[in-house]
Amino acid sequence: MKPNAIVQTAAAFALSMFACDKSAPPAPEAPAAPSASAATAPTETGAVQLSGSSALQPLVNAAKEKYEAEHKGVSIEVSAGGSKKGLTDVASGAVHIGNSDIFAPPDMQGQLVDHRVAVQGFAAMANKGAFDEKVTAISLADMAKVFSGTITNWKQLGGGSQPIVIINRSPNSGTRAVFGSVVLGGDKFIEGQTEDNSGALVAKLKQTVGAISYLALSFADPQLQVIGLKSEAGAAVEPTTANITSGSYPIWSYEHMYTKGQPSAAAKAFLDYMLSPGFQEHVLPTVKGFIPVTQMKISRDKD
Amino acid sequence: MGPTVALAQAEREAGDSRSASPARVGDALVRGFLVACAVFVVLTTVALLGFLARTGIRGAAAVGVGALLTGDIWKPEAGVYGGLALIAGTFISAIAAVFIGAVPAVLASVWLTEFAPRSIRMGYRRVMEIASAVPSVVYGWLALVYLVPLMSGLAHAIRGHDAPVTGEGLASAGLLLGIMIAPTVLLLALDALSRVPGPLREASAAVGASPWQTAFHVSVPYAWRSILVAIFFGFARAAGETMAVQMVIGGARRLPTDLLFSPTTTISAQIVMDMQEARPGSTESDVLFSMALVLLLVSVAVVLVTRGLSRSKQGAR
Repeated sequence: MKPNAIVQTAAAFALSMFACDKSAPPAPEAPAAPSASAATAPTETGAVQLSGSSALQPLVNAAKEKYEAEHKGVSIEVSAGGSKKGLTDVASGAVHIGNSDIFAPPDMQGQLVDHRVAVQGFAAMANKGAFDEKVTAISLADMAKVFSGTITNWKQLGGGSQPIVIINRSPNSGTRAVFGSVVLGGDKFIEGQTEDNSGALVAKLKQTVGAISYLALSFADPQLQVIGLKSEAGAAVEPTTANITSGSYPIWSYEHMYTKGQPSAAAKAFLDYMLSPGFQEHVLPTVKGFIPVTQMKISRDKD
Repeated sequence: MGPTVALAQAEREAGDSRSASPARVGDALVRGFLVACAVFVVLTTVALLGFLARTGIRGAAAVGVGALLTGDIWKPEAGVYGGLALIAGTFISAIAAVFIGAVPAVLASVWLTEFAPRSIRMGYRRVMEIASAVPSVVYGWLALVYLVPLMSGLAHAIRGHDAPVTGEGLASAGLLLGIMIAPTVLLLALDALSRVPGPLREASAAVGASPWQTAFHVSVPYAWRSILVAIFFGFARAAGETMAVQMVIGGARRLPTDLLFSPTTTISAQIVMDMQEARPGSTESDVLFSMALVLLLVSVAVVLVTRGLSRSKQGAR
């Protein structure tokens, strides 16, 4: 085809599109396609795909950085989207590894293999202000009343008069599942503002006066008020590593990396690296909020 | 290839147009390509509508249309699908946007065409064209950082310090959507008013009408159908907006406890929130498509009303 013809074609085509654009009533924004269809099927080309927990993501990112530097040609692709998405994705074969803060549900446990790479604690965190500077620890019963909507003002917790604004994570969050299971005995959160990832939640907490939510300890921040628990005797139990490993602070979970059946070679190599003494003893403690599984003095087999 | 050579070649090709010359093959290819493009666009639209209708109806059948439209608890993880809060959030925020954004935009367009000097009109139009091209995520982000804290202060000032109100809610969403649709509505209304024939205005002035009377008794009545189309278009855009609204509405899956200042949700915001976990083929996914279908039906209704208005306009003359 001659260059002129090409130019004319292009011009005619552009013009026709432009004309259509002007005359046709504009279509409303089409709903986005379900995200699952965007994920590609696993391949054996040295790429390992992971999805799921945003609480576990900082640790996986730290491992990814070191691992890719040591193994040229291997790429580790991590995406967040919530623990339940990680479980669904790995079960459907959309990714090699599904990251999760929670145990796989019974109907999935048959086909999924659990690799526990770390332990992480979770805590209630709040907007910082004069109203809650004295509220550093509350009893588990009061915590439950806050998140189920019975306690609605900081003054009921010994703080200043300021309404409590509950901000939830979305229902596919592992943080929500773990926190709800320990504090409320299930997902009994009062309906309220909802954020779909931990990072956005931190920003929202800093901005909203009186707000409280729950986060993995890897998101603890000097600008947030971290609220510990009070034992029945009235002593404060802060969410420290020592309190978690001894079992006195109960809001923690294993960080699971599930594979469907036995992992593929590339995925197995990466998991072996994350479980190696070199990573567990030297890299993991440098990432805020994570505890090696081997340090735990207690264990669990369900959330 | 220079223009002269091209011209000579074109003439040569015109001469032997009976034979299957390369030029004719080229024409056929281009025509085929254009037809293919046209067919492709129509097919995608039809396929989209078909898929949405099929999946949406399946979802509505699984839950029950009544429960889906009137239930006020939306909890997919527990299998409860009541879409009332989503639908109410969508409608209230879009209608608020029409009053906050579209109506002032129309009045501004009347001022611009009937009263303002030409130089201001052109400058104003350029500014509005830029404003209508700003991506919605930019509006949303700005609103999240500046508007929401402002509304939070306002909410506590109005409802009291200890009231359970927040900056996130329908007030922020409506205001933001109003700001977002105003430039588009203004441009459309401006186009409508600029199509009012000059002689009409002159005749009006000749019989002694003031500019005010000419504007509201001649120009606006002449263009009112196109102006309504502009407002409906603004409504449809506000109802379908996702990103910006999701950032300021709060995302609580319930009817707002305070009409203006408490978190709630809209259809589009909730679809974005829930789609991650919805496995294709599951009831959860089907019901999300049902809600998408509701949104589409609203938009189609708006398009049909718009079409009806412009048709009756042609019939009138």
